[in-house]
Parts: sequence; C-alpha cells; structure tokens
Amino acid sequence: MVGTFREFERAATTEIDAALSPLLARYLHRLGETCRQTGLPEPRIMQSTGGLIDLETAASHAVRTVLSGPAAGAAGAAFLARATGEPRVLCMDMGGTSCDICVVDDGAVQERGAAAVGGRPIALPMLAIHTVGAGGGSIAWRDAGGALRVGPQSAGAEPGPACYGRGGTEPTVSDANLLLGLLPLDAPLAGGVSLDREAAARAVGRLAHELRMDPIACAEGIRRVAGGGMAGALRVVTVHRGVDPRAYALMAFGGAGPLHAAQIADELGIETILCPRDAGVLAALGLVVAERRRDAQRSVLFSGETLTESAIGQVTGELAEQARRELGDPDADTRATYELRYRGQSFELPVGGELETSPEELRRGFEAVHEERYGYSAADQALELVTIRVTATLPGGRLELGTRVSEEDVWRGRRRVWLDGREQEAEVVAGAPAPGTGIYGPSIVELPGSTLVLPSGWRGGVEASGMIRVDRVR
Amino acid sequence: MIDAVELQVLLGALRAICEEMGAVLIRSAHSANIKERRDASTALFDALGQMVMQAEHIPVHLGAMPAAVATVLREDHAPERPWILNDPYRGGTHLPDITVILPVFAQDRLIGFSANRAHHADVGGPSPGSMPSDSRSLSEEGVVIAPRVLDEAAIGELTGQMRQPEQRRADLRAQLAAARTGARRLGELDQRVGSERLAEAFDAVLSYSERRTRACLAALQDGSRQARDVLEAREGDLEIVLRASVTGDALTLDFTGTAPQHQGNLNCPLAVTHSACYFAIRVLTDPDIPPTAGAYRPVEVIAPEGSLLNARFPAAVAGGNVETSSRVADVVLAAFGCALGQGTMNNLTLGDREAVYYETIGGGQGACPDADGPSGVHVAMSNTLNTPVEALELEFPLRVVEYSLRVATGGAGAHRGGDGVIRELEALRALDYSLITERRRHAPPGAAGGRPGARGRNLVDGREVPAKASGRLAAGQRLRLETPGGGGYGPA
Repeated sequence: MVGTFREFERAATTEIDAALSPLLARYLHRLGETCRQTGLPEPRIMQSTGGLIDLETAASHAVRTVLSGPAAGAAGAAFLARATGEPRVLCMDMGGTSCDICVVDDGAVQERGAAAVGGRPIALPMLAIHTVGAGGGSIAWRDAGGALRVGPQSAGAEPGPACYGRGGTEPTVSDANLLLGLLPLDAPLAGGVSLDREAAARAVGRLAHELRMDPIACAEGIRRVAGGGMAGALRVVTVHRGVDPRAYALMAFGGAGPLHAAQIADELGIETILCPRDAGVLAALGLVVAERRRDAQRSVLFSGETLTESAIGQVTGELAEQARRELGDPDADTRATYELRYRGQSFELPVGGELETSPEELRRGFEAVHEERYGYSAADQALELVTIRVTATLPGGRLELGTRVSEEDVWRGRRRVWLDGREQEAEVVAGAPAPGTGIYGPSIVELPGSTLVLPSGWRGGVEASGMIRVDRVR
Repeated sequence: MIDAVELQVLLGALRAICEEMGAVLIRSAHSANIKERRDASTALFDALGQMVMQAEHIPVHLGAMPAAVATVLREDHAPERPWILNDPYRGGTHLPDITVILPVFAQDRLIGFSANRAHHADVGGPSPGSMPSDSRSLSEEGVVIAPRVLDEAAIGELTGQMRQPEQRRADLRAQLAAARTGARRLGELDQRVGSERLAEAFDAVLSYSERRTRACLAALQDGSRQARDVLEAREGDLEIVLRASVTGDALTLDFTGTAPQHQGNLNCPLAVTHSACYFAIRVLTDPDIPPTAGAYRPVEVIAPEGSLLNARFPAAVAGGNVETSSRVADVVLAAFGCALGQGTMNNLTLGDREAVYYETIGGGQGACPDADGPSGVHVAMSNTLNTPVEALELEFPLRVVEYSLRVATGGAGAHRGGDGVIRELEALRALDYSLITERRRHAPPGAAGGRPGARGRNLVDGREVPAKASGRLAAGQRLRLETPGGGGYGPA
C-alpha cells in the first residue's frame, strides 16, 4: 500500500486504510449502482493528490481519498490560476465549517510526500492544504475572559446559522454578514430558502447584549475576528515556505470565501484579489478538469556510491510501468518526484524531475528547494535519495471558460450596507457578470454560488475567462 | 477601553507574531533539534518584562522565558542591541537552550522585548551533545553564558568553544533573525494602534488571561492537598514534597520539605520548576488560556533555596531538566487527583568515538476519569517523535531485536493506564551506553482507586541494571528497556 521508509507511519497508514475502506466501499458501490441504473457513467473519485482514480480503486483504498473534497477545490483553483495566467496565488476555500488554504505556484498546488490528517500520520503523497476552523456556520461566543470568539464550533448545515430559520439560535458568521447587509436575503446558502434577517438579528443581538456592545458593532466584530484567524493562518503558511504574502494574489472561493477576501487582503498587504465567477462550485470544476492519476513509490535510500544515474533509472522505469499499468494506459504521461535530504537529517524535501536524471541534477534541484525552504544549502554535505515516486497521468476534461453569459442575466442596483465601520451605499451586481464588466468598490457582487464583498479602494473587472480581478487603488 | 472584539483581534495578532518568529527560526536554523524536533520557543514581552504571548511547543520553556527577560530588564537598552544567555541560574534552563532577547523601540521609547530560545545540538563541554548523564557541576555540561550583549565578537568567542562552530553561528543568526522579525511586527502594531493604546492592550491581554485562569481555579474545591513522590538517584531516593492550596481563585504550590540539592545532575533551577508547575496548571485549567504573565498571576510557587527544585550555582542540571521537571508536574497533578503517566523520558545514549546516538522512549500515560490512557507515547514534559527502527538500523551499528507494547503494564481501573514499551537493541560493535531513567524502583501511581502502572526495567543481556547506569556493551550484547505503564483511574 505505502512502500516507503519508516515503519510506524507506514503501518498507521495501512491501518487507517483498513478501517476506512469498508465504509467508503459500501457508499461508493451504492453510488455506482445508482449511476448505472440511471444511465450515468461510473463516477471517478478525487484523491488527496488532486488526481482522479476509478471507483473500484478508491473503494479498496479509502486512505487515498482523505483530502478528497479540499483537493478538488485546490485542483479547480490551480486550473483557474493557469487560465488567468497568475503565477503566484494564495487560495482560500471557505465554506460552512472550515477554510482550506493552499499555495499555487506556476499553476501547480504544492504537494507533500506525507502529512498528518486529523492527528494521524498518512505516508502518501497529497496536496499541501492547511485547514482553519472558520466558516460561514462558525459560532460566535463570549469566552470566560470576556473576549469575542468565533468557532471552532460550527452550526453546520443542520440546524445551520440562525438565519436559515431551521431552529439554529447561535449567532454565526453568516448571521453577521446578513445583518450588515453584505449577504442578500436570497443568498443560495440554505438551498433556495430565503434567509431570516430577524432570526439573525435576535441571535447576534443576544451576544451583543452579553458583550455590552451595539449589535452592528458586534456583527462587524464577528467578521473581524473570523477574518483575523484566516489571515494569521495564511501568513504562517507563507512564512513557513519563506515567501512574502504581498507577492501573491488572493483567490477566494467556496460559498463564504469572497465575503471575507478584501478584509484578509488588507491584513496581509495583498494588492490583487481574484474571485472566480463560479466561486461557489469550484470544487466541482476541479473534478471536471482534474487529471486521472496513479502514484507508485518506493524507498531506496541511495547515497554515495549507490546514488547513480543507472540505479535511479532502473527504479523509475519499474515504478513508471507499475503506475501506468494501474492507470490502465501504457502510454500515460509520467513524471518523477525525488524525496531527498542531507545525510543525518530526519525529513526529506521533494524535488520534481524527469524519470532519467543524474545525481548532479538532483543535487542542484534539492539545493534550490532547501535554500527556499530553509534559507541555506550546504554544498559539502552528502546527499541521500530516500524515496522515488513516479506519477502517471491522463489529461482531464477540456473546458472552455467565459462563454454563454449575457448582460441580461445581470441585475444592477444599490443597497445600504455596513462596511469599514460605517453605513454606506454600495453597488450591487447580481448574477454572473460578463467579461469586460467593470467592478468598483464599494460593491457587492452576488454570484450564483457566493457573494463577493469589495469595500471602496478596490477596482477591476471580469476577465475573458470569467475571473473577477480587482486591484487595490489607494 | 479595549472591547471584546479588539481584545480577540489583539490576542490573534500577538499569537501570529510569535508563530511567525517561530517559522523564521525553524526555517533558518541548522540544528536538527530546532529544525526537525522544533525544540524552540518564541515570546513577546511588554516594557516591564511581562510576557504578553508565547508560541509554546516545549513545556519546559513556559516559565523560563520570563526569567530570562527578567535578568536583562534593568540593563541599558538600545535599539538593535540584542542579549544572549544560557546560564540556568540567570534565566536559562539547561545549557543547550540558548536565549536571545531583543529590546523593541518605537522612536526612542522602549515598548517591549522580542525573545526566543532554541536547543542547540551542542554547547561544548566534555560530552558531545552537552547532555552528560553523570555531571556533578555546571561547568562539566558545556559553556555557561551569563547575560551579555550579542554582537559579532560574542558570536565568534562563544561558538569557538563549541563543536561545529559553523552550525552554531548559523543557529544564533537564525535566533537573531527571529527576534528582529518579532521586533519589527511589534513596532508595526505600535504604529497601527498608537503607543498608549498598545500599552492599554497589553494590560487587557494580561488581565484577560488572569480572568480565565481565575475562573478555572475557582471551580476547584477550596483547601489544601498534599502529594509526595521521589526521584531515583544513584545514591538513593530524593523526595519531592508538595502542599497545594486553593483559596478562592488563587493557588499556592509549596514545595517546602523537598530534598536538598543533589551532587549529581537532577537539580532544577527555579525557572524549570516554574515551567513544570505552569505545565501542570495548563493541564488542570484550560490549555486555551493564552500563556502570558497574567495567566500565572493567581499562582504562587514556593521552592526553598538550596533545594532540589531551587538549586544554587554551580549544581549540575542536565538531568533536572529532563527528569526532575517531569516529577514536579507529576506531584502537582497527583495533588489534584490525576493518575500519573510513565514520568520519565527514558534517556538513552549509545556511542563510541565515531557515532553518538541519543533517544527518548515513550511509555504509558495515566488514565483520565473518562478514558483509558494512551499506550507508547511521550508523557508530560517530553514531546518528541520516535526514531524509526528503519532509520536507526541504517545510521548506527545497532539491530533492533524487539520494539513492542509492553502488554498489560498500564494500571487496572475503571479506566486503564496506557501500556509501556519494550525496546531491545543489540550492539553490532562495542558501544558505551548511558541511561538516565526513572520509575525503575517506584511505580507510577493510579488515582481514585485505580492501580499503579508497572515499574520500568533496564536489562543488559537479561541482567537488570539500575535507573541511572553507564557501561560498555560488547558486540552481540543486548540492552533492553521496558518502560513504565501509566496509572489506572477508579476502581476496576
């Protein structure tokens, strides 16, 4: 199942696989059966790597899918980053219960050879996605010291935020956004149900009373606290990689991401916000465009005399054959990842490369990555190749972006909203605005699946790909 | 007035600064201890030296960072004039932990301090790694750095006395870079909110943490509790005695009656004792309370000078930091009715002139009132990863004969203590070994009628050796460690 060095992580991964697979298999087989009966093709399943596998493989190895949902969103974001030509993008996918963060450089999401998920080690490749417990359903509360807190408790979808009118009474981030006029009453949060402003006001009002604050100030406070948590997480993720967030564009998606993007960009000093017109369904887009993918890996622990071009070539050849066989196509594209370290280190860094490579090339690649991650490299230290991974891929679905939208589907108006601590009038653009449409803050763009909030000081418009791009103009 | 929103935003901002300092430190350091085991802490202080936030990963740094800043507080400070120290009797913990402190100025006014501490792979002295098992005075444990200004000359002079001076220089530069990051961010915060408001904000953060701790302490029953336990020194047991008194929303931890300081290295400077107490208090209250000076205002720790828990210069401290600190946390937890975990890090060093291998081994954790204790984990003051068998056998002349859970060694009870671990190593060539272990003579107690966990055992070729031992393994000889189980909770 795993094929890499370190017995504990390998055994734990195998155990998690054994525990999850029967559960996932039951569900997937039911799903497959229903699809067959209704004449739909057999579904493919998203892995944690951002690549698809067939249903039977997922059913027998569920551990490959632990980050399936976030990986689909990240795959969609990477696709759009390529389409819009933006080389450096910080992505935030904020939904009802959490916010997933990842970094897209040159159109690719950063990967890891292994990671802990829910506190359990998973020794398999996966996208580097960082999750923060902040979403639209995150509950705001007063703690024992009198501070206003948001999350990690979430009202989820049932009963959901108070404004869903399904019996929820706790104030949530969505309730605050609604109260401030940032969310429309017919926002598609609760599946077509119109939102209950009175219920939101009651829930936020109760907390405001507890905190001895004005309800509007309390609602703005909920937004600030939630945004502060996400901005802090984004900062730490970028600093750990040795990059400056100000050099990145912020791509916000998920139902709630675009509501908070401007506030987070402000805190991080980011100058450009990207918001896909399909921000609410980007994970679905990711599923359509993702490549089919299989990974085969083996720990080799080559160093010194054993680290030779021919030894590497032999292993990559065998792994490539295995990965292509599992993918069912002997001509599938392949690429290799080399997990390297200096002798004596206990963790490796991944370096991408060709199947045929030389020790010298590996050292050059490794030292560049080591320099970026750790701020130095050491030409005199011995190099060790711990694990070789070969990835075989077949291209995903082709998609033309930015067509089939007419201005008639868009409604423009104005609305009173609370932004930046004061009540003001904002332009409202509802629908999916066509390429070329200008967007100027303060404005609220009510997209089909999410709502983009832009205070004054942001301006831009819709690109040919359907991406909304706005820049800071102060 | 700092309102509920401002307070939370500020707490978040301070926490983010400390985390960013940590990221810079870990990214640019060279020592494996710092990079891979993250044996480092970062913190921010106000102008009075009160800690306003810490990014804590290492329990033993909790109480020791404030002690470090306190020692340089009265010095003549200037922008860009950083300080360095590791002296356990002046703000340090044990010698490999080096602290760097940078005063933070806004215009000409001192507004606070940015500080960090990191465990260097070596700080000189007779044994590689500077963690000797048999030291009898501080000077046998490495270079002692009294608080001094950290300039290029100091870096050269200090690292010249340590092994791998290039690596040490890189680690110190990483600490400086981290301190500067913290200072820059604190300066930005000052600029954003204004100096008066920043001072007000620091006060709000401190009183907030204090309120949270007091709310938790008030929920504990008033009155006095006692607990005692021992450390297993070569020459006999050393007793630790505690009277813990809760009065309303305040707590006193009084260690009067504890054994005097020891000729070996099981001694704790007062800062380490504070750290262990603060760790136990975080367990007993709410780990979500921000680790600030305010959080510990309601707590008084009394440890008589010259005792094992407030040792005087030049007592050796290498074992105190790793083992005695665990026992201090244990007695505080025991006083409040907790079942105890293995209470030792099972420190093992093996080596010869060519290779030195150091590891700590997990064991059983004590049961909780509502759950079994986990098996085979590091407990309390230790927080490190296991060395994979596959890595160990590759790097060192050792074969792992057995690595397994020591079944049924957790204490019985309504909830069982976790099981200990068996680790048996065969030397493939002659190697010296050194063991600093505990709970070999006395078992980790259970609570509320739960049974104790099993004692640990150390064996060479089947013959038992003491808790603290050193000697030589011939090629083919086997060293076997059986680590303690955790105590059970409630009658079985």
